Amino acid sequence: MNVVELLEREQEKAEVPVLRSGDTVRVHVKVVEGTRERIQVFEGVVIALSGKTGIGASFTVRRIASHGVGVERTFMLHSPRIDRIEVLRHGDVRRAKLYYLREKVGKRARIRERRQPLGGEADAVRRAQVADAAAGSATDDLDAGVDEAETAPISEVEAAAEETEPGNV
Amino acid sequence: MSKGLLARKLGMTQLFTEQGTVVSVTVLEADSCHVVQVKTPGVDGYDAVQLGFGEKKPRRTTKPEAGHFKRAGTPPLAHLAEVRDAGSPAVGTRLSVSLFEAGERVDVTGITQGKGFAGQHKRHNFHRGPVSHGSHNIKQAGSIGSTDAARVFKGLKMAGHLGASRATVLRLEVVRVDPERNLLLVRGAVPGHRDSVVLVRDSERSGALVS
Repeated sequence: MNVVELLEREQEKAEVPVLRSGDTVRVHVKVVEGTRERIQVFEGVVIALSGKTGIGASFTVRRIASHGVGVERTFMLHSPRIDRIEVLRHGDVRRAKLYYLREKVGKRARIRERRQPLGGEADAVRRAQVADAAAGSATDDLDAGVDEAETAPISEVEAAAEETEPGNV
Repeated sequence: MSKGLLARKLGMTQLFTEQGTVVSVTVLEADSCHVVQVKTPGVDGYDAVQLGFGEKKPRRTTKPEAGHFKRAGTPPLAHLAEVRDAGSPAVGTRLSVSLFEAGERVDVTGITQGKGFAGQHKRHNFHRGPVSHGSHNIKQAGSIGSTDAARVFKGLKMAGHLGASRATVLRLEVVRVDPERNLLLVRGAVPGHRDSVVLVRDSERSGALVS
């Protein structure tokens, strides 16, 4: 890896949620008021993702503020001003960029919730198999007498991945 | 007294600040910058330090050059540059990026990217001609003089070779210094393509900050 990539990698957060257009998210942003710093929440629909990976990745969240005024805010995914991002629900959408929502009001601006993982049932089965295989190899390592401290973080990560996986991918 | 350093341009990236804003930076690496010669008014007629950068094969070094580097006690170096009035560091020492510190302003000199033979629009920012109403004058330069002169004046802006020339960007802010990896992160763009060698000097223009 070259030095420039390394510098970028150093700044990236260890864990960021896998977002997709149509997701409803709650972004916890750190804001400075005078001398005090507090966390502000911005909740809305992800209408665009830009720069899929890397330090330059950003996403745009649209929410309907009071009086039906649409407010869009673009965040850098790896920005230090973002405390955390919660994914509340996954939307069933057919576009990468949901700019059409700007022209829709009220009921028409709704997005159906996606209950099936993307790619249908076959894909879900396939991913479950991959997860199983990974779990199997982890236990193999344990049998081989590898230090538990080493394997523990791995399985934690896996567990976390499984929790968020069904809708995220 | 001024100071200078030869470095390699590695490329550009971005850094987050505490405030969450993003700063675009150029990454410069000074892994093999040596003092090759110290010039004095008594011997050379002026005061300067000659810097060398980038090791090259002894096989590719001419004998006079080899002697020059041997006297300095450095490996054969591919690039040489001088910095005027830079004191008298010991010949042969390897300079580190810790010469500079974050927040300082520097001037960066390099060879710009070559653009080849470029037209007037690209080279001199001419306007293009009208594109419709039967115009065939879209990319032409326009008039190059009056009938009265009956000749073309010297130095008239025309198409020709663009780029690959020496350029200096003044007053760039040093955003970060990384002595461990010998990296210098400078705010903004720097002349030259990736892997090109640039000369970094402390800025002559040290007045009030514009930005």
